[in-house]
Amino acid sequence: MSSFWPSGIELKNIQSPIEILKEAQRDWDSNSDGILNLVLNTIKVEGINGLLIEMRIIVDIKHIPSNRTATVFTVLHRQNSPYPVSIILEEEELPDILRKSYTVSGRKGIETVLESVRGTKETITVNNEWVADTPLEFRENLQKVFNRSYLKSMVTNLISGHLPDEEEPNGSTAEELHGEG
Amino acid sequence: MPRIVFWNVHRKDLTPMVCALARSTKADVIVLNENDVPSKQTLSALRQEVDTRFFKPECMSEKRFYCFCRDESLGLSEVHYSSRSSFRELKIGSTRSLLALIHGIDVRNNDPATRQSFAQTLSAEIRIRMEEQSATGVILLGDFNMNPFDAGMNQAAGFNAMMTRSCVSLGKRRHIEEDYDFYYNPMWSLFGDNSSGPPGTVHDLTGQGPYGWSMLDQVLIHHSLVNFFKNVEILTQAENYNLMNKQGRPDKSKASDHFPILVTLGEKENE
Repeated sequence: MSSFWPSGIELKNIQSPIEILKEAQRDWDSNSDGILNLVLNTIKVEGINGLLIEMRIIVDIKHIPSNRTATVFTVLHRQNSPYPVSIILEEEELPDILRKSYTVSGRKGIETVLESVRGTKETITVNNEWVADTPLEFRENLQKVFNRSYLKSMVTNLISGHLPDEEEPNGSTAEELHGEG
Repeated sequence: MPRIVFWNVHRKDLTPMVCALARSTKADVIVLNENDVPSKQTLSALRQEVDTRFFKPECMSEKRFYCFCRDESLGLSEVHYSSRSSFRELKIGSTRSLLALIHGIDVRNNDPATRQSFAQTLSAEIRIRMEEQSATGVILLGDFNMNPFDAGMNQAAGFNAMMTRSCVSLGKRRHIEEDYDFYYNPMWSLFGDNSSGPPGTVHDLTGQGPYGWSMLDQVLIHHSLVNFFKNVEILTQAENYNLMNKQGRPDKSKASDHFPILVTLGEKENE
């Protein structure tokens, strides 16, 4: 194969996000002995001007004996264009204290004030680790999501059906500390 | 007649006021949002101060909503949850419906397009849950972080929530080759100076509130359940506790920055 070929693209393995998710679905079905099911619900979300802009696949875990479900993440891509594809985690709502790792902005307090006084703004590149350009990257991201601790906790809560009595509230999320209405 | 109180308590311990609200409204269901008080503590207070029948319906998550009930016949077990919603079975008489507790994404950190997209996603999710649970209809209750006139609340692909009962009598409307169920939004009747209570549930003159008052806390009734709906009111008093300040706004120093709302349903249609 020529060295000009883009890396990460294997012609034998071109699958859409939904095809890869269906593979994950089969895997969950066989590994849980049919007790847990991955449910994939595809919805369309319109833009403000009424044009269709994105497709969302809501991924739920279903506890079949009780019919209880929980949304674990959402997959998002443009209509008629399955890549790039992004995964939106439900975990994002967790307060930092409950996350095994998280990152914070480098600029805080007086630095942001000085920046506005100077009229300068340093550009910062934000990397979204959950965006995949190829099926291979999406497959890798999906494997990472299924191994996140929040998802494992959700599975446990779903099967047990109730919270233990001693469970305490999670406390404020970062967003709420900034004054949620 | 099921009576449901919803209150965003602004992450404060307002347990004595919650108990006073439960007593003064004779609430069957209390839902607290943005709450930091452990449910065990609130439940214990409700049992001691109000009614020993209060219990915490089965739930898988308490990230957003704390729900307490004193009438087992209403159900209220959680059947689905996501980061911003909790779906509970709700038995009104012989009708099996759902109560969806909603906490919309906030105004300060999300632009109108993002909030509109949230409304559409959640609305699609509601259709999925109704089908999954074979429910007749659904009642949406919560802090939507949108006003009844915001696009996400009334667009067909959003919550599709209309101003009057007669507006929803057709049941659904068609938009880009798809049918969307109507919801009745009774909060429209509570706006402004000519309503019997305060003009809204939140008052803010900063960037969040270009109208002064906003009606962020709302109840939406699926068209199939409209005949079970009796009334909604904004509460400003809980026995001796005044929840509003001298200007008639939510007293966030002593209580919350939101007023609670009380929803009354009938056990039979047109009761």
